[in-house]
This record gives sequence, C-alpha cells and structure tokens, in this order.
Amino acid sequence: MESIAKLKNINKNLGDFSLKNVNLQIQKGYITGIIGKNGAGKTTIIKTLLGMLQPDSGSVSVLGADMAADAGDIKNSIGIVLGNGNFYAGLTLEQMKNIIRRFYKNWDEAAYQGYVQKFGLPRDRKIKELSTGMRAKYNISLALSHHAELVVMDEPSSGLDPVAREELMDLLSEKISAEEFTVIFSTHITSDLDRTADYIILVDNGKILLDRPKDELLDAHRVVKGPVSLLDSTLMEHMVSHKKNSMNFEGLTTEAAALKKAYPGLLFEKPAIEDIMRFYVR
Amino acid sequence: MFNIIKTDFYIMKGSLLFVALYNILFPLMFHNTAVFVPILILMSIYVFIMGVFAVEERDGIQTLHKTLPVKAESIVGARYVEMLLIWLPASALQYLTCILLAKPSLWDGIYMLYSLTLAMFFLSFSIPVTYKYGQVKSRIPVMLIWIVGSVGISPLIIEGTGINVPILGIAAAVFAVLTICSWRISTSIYKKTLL
Repeated sequence: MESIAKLKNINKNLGDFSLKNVNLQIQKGYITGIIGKNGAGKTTIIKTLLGMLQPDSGSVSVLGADMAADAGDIKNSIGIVLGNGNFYAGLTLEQMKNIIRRFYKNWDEAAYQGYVQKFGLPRDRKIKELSTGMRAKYNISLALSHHAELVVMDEPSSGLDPVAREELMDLLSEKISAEEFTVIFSTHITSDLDRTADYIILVDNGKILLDRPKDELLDAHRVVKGPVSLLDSTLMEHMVSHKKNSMNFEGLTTEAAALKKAYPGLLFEKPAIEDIMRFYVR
Repeated sequence: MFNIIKTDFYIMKGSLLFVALYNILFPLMFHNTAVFVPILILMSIYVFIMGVFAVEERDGIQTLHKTLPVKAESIVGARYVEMLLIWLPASALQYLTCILLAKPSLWDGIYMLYSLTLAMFFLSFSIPVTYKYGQVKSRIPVMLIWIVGSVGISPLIIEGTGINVPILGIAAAVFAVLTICSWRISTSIYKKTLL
C-alpha cells in the first residue's frame, strides 16, 4: 500500500508538553482517524504534518514533499480544516471565498457553490454573524473545493450537530470511493469514526499508542465484563486496563479466546472505538 | 506574495482613504515647512502596516496563512513591499498637493529619499518586533520607533542642520541592507511562531 504522508522520528518540545519519537505513515485513499483525549497531542501532530510546527528532530513528508523545505506550493494539493477556521470576520462568505480562491491553482467554483447549497450557507452574511456550525461547514466547503489529494481535518465536527456530522462523514466516504482522495481526521468524538474510518491512530501524552486498521483493531480487542468477585490478579494481567465498582468490573483485552476458557462467567463484547480509547488512556 | 498584498489592500481599503486624505490635507495646512513630508509618509506606512497586523491578530489570519499554498518568505516579504506601495502614492499625493499650492520647492527628490530611508529604518525594527511579540504587545515600542524617526529626528534635520546628501545616500544604502536582513530575521521568527 502506498503512503501519502510520513512522520519519521518526530520530537517536539513545547514546554509542558512534547511529542516523543512519533512515527506515522498515512495510507493513500483511506480515511485515517487520529483519536485521543483533550491535550493528547492530536493537533500538534496535525500541525507538524502540515509544516505549521517545525519539529526539533525528525522529518515530515507529504505527497513526496519535505514539509520543512517546501511547505508552500504543496498546499495546493492539501485541503485543511482547523477547528472552525480563521477568516476576516468583517467579510461576507462570498468576499472571503474570493480571497481564498486566488491562492489555489485548481479552485473549482462549481464544487464550492455545490457545497454552499448542500450545507445551506448564506453567501452574503458576514462571517462574524455565522453560528459555530455554519462556520464549520463553510470551512469544510473551502477545503473541499480545490481538488485536494489530501484533506486534513482537526476536530472539524466539534461544532456540528449530529445530523450535520453524519452528513459530513457520508460526504467524505462518498468522495473517498469516487476519487483518489485521502482524509486525515482528528477528533475526540469517536462515534464519527466507527462507521467511516479505515485506520485508527491513538495518541496519548505525545506518543502513538496504537496505529492499525480499524477493523483489525476492533477484531483484536474485546470488552470484558463481569462480577468483581471474578477479578483476580491473573485476569488483571491479561487486560489492557479495567475499571471497577463495588459490584462489577469492565475491562479491555486482546486475549479474549484464552480468557473465555479460563473464566466462563465473563461476558465478552466487540468494542467500539471509544472503548479502545477509554481503556488505553486510563 | 501578490495575493497577500492584494488581500491586505482590500482589507485595509478604509485606512487607505484616510492615508490619502492625510497626504492632501496636511500639506495644505503646513505648507510653510517641508517637515511634514517624512512625518506624513512614515505615518501613512505606520497606519497601514500596523493596521494589517492588528486585523491579522484579531481574526487569527496568521493561522489561515499557514494553511494556504504560499511560502513564509512571501507572506513576510509582502509587508516590506507594501511599505513601498504606500510610500510611492503617499509621496505622489504630497507632490501634487504642493504643485496645486504653487510651492513645488517644498518637495523634492531629497525629501523623497529621506522619507524612504526613514521608512526602511522604521520597518527594519518594527516588523521583526511585531512578529516576535505580537501586535498588541509591540504597539508601544513600535510607536516609539515611529515617533523617534518622524517627529523626533526629522524637524531637527530638516529645519536645523539640513539634509547632507552624501550622508543620506550612505544611510539609504545601509538601511536598504538592514531591510533585507530584517526580512530574513522576520521570516525566521514567523516560521517558529506557535499558533
């Protein structure tokens, strides 16, 4: 499989937080979700990938370009969504778009107008008058309107309602299957990735804890539940982590087959991405 | 770089109108002295460039710039080129006003070179300071640089000692080199800015 972006031995010290020996390869033509709790380093990794942060050591390449040396022109092929976007607040959506479009060689006005219509955006309203959700949709519309080969999104759905989030994920899936198109998507709303992500990267405290295909990740793990009376040291050793109360416990394991035989009273369930994240970062 | 400059002029079009008015009204008001020439030009550059930084900081435009397909050298370089693009029409407006007042001797190439030298002095220090500390924190030091350069030194030189042309030529060359160094330093600061 071909990789479209690579981070190699990245270290970056930001005072009270640092990225430690981050190695990543993003596969071309798939949706990769970067998950982690608040402050885990998701945004720092995204900004390093985009050349917005210079690492202390290591190398970053995107679409074959070294981002330290050439982070300018390559962004013609990258659609970027950072939060709700940064725009001139006093301009209308149309005026702001006319500024942005000049920078891109492959701007597609028809595509942009299509997204504006699809998302119901008011062209002549000032950006400072937009709701958080509309601003997020506008940001996404701009990122998807210049035939980008790679779309990088940092928490794009945090301002969106559940209906809009589903719309966005459906749109991304559609574009992936129709075109040569790759998406990197960081979020702490893991339910967005359950349906659509192909790869999952779990970040915690500046380190990569997991980097695997989603289906493989979910198949390899099971949520274990049972009465606290069955929770012994042997069982704890075979779990990634667990939590308990006075009556019951819940944990995550990669050794479900062996544990089923040894502990027949336990319940094993297929996890969601949220369960993986919860138990790995405890 | 051209797109950045075009955007800045579009965003600051209101300020450009005031800049134009200053460069017409002040010569009308102070037509007995040439001191206004460098003061007004430096003020025009100060209002425009610092206004651009203020809007960028308010709306987080530096983050937007870092997502666009444009190199850091071009983004920063645009500020220095914008200085020239303000200096030239500001000078032209003052010259035309002096012609209308039938006092063309108030304004000549020496004052034009003097105002350009002052502008390069101003930008060489104020732009790296603004990129390093942000527009809000660097307002006072940048204003001090402007005051020293315009209302501080200029009256002493123009009304006092007079402009020494050979020294002015050397100063212009030195500040031109300083401006290029300032651009490199500002670009380096800009690239390391955490957003």
